[in-house]
Amino acid sequence: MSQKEKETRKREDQEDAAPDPEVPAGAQERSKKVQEEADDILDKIDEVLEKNAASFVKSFIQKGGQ
Amino acid sequence: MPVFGRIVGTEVEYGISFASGTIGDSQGEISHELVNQLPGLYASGALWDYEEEDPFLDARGFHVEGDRERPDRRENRWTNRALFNGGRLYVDGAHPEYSAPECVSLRDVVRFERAGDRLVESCLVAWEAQDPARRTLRLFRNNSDGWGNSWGYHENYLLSRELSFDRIVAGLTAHLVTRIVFCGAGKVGSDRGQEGVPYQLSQRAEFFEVPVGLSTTSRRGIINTRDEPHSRKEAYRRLHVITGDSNCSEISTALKVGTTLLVLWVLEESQRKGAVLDVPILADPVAAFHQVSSDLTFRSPIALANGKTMTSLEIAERYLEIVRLWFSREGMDSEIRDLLERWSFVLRRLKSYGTDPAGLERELDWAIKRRVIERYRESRSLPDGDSRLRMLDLQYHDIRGAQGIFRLLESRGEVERLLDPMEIEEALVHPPSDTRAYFRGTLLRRFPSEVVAASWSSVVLDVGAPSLKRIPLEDPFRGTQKTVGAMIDRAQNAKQLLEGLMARSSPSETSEDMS
Repeated sequence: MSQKEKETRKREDQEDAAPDPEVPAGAQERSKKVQEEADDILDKIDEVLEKNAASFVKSFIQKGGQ
Repeated sequence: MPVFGRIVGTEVEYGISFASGTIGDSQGEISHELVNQLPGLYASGALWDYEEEDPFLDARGFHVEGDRERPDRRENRWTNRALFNGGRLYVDGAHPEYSAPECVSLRDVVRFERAGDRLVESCLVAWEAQDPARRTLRLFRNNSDGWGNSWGYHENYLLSRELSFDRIVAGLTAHLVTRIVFCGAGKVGSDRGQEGVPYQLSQRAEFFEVPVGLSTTSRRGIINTRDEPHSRKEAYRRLHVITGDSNCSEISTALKVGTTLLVLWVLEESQRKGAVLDVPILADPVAAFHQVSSDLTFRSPIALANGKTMTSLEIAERYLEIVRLWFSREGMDSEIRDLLERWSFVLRRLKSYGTDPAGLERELDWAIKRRVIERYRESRSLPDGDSRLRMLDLQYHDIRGAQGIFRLLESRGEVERLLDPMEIEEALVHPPSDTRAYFRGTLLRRFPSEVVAASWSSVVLDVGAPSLKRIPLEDPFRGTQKTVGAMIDRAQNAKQLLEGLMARSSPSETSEDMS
């Protein structure tokens, strides 16, 4: 999501919330949205995380440097 | 009013392996091959000029035995690239290393460091494209392999020779030990088999064994004593700080370098004015460094030389107070003001980190990394010690856009940034404008066939005369765009430039003949 889209979304959220702050539906929706974005990142990490983690961390031995 | 006019240069050594994680005895060879894949867009064929180097002079006033490096032509080229951006890409030991050019502004420090990752990434792409075996490499901007081996991140601060070495040791040690609360890069587990340390603040802390020392590869000292100023020895020191972690977060890098620079600045100025500073002196700096790294509550008492104790956060706050008081009395520019505000805001929030991480998980490396590892561990129900957690730690530092976890978080707006990406792009080829790096980098780019070698303190020209001409760059503040930019722009070749420089000052100041 680009910065601009994010700002737009933020503004929409604020507009949604402004007229009737007592209705928790907006808050629920937002928290759901945040949760979805978080899950999305974890899924993305699954995609890029080294598949042979066990063998990689065992084999990654460096000559010491400074 | 003081302006942010102090020179700093940073160095990053990269971890390197094949896709499997192994690299073994070929680490040095592959690192050399990597450096040699640097595209011609970023460097010419110039060599590194080793003439002035002497890493064995100790700031305590003696000379240590050791072989000075004097590689032959072929070896020199195989190891070095003098960069158009004023920095140096080379192989140190068996690691690829990038030394950023000398910078005056903190923003430049951060952007030139990030430019190094991009340069190394371009080598990586080129290396993989030409490898007949079609192997892939991974490069990590980190400092430990988890098996007890460490490689460095170094800061270099240009100081007045008047600042005594003893005052640096007394005044800076507790800052280096406690600044990891905001600039540690975070680490899963321990390299030294410490029990009960699932996560610690610093990659490097465990590897320090003595309070003061010259060596950078074994028995590392919290204050390094190398006295190799790469400039006029009678006027300057270059303090070589080797305790730092390679940060990915721009905020952490800025805080690490910025706070240290200000502390040194106050130590220097206060000595000149004979002012006394109430700096905490640690009873056992090495034990304290290890202790601070594994204390994520910031509440554990650290023994002071006077028999009292302070917590890591209290020591960090004391330093902030000393510096803030100094600059509010002496005056400050906007860069210092911003830095003091950020420093103070971070310490305030660290106090309540346990109950409310309040944005620190978007700013500080150790907190960003810890949060992402925790989220992943919880959602995937992984047990402690699962190798995927250690892998996440390593991969946080992977420099490649498609694989690096920090890069992933950054691209999704999950971490705070200081820079516009275009500022980094510019730093790949254009040197800082306000130090001698401008002269070095611009000459390398403008006159690639005539500049035969360069170093921090020299540019060596072949202008068709019987001997090579070395232009000394003894003063890091000279050779800026303001003073020589127009002259370099006008010159058709290096010979003309040399003539112009000689007309402006006495020849002995401008260049010397080399046999």
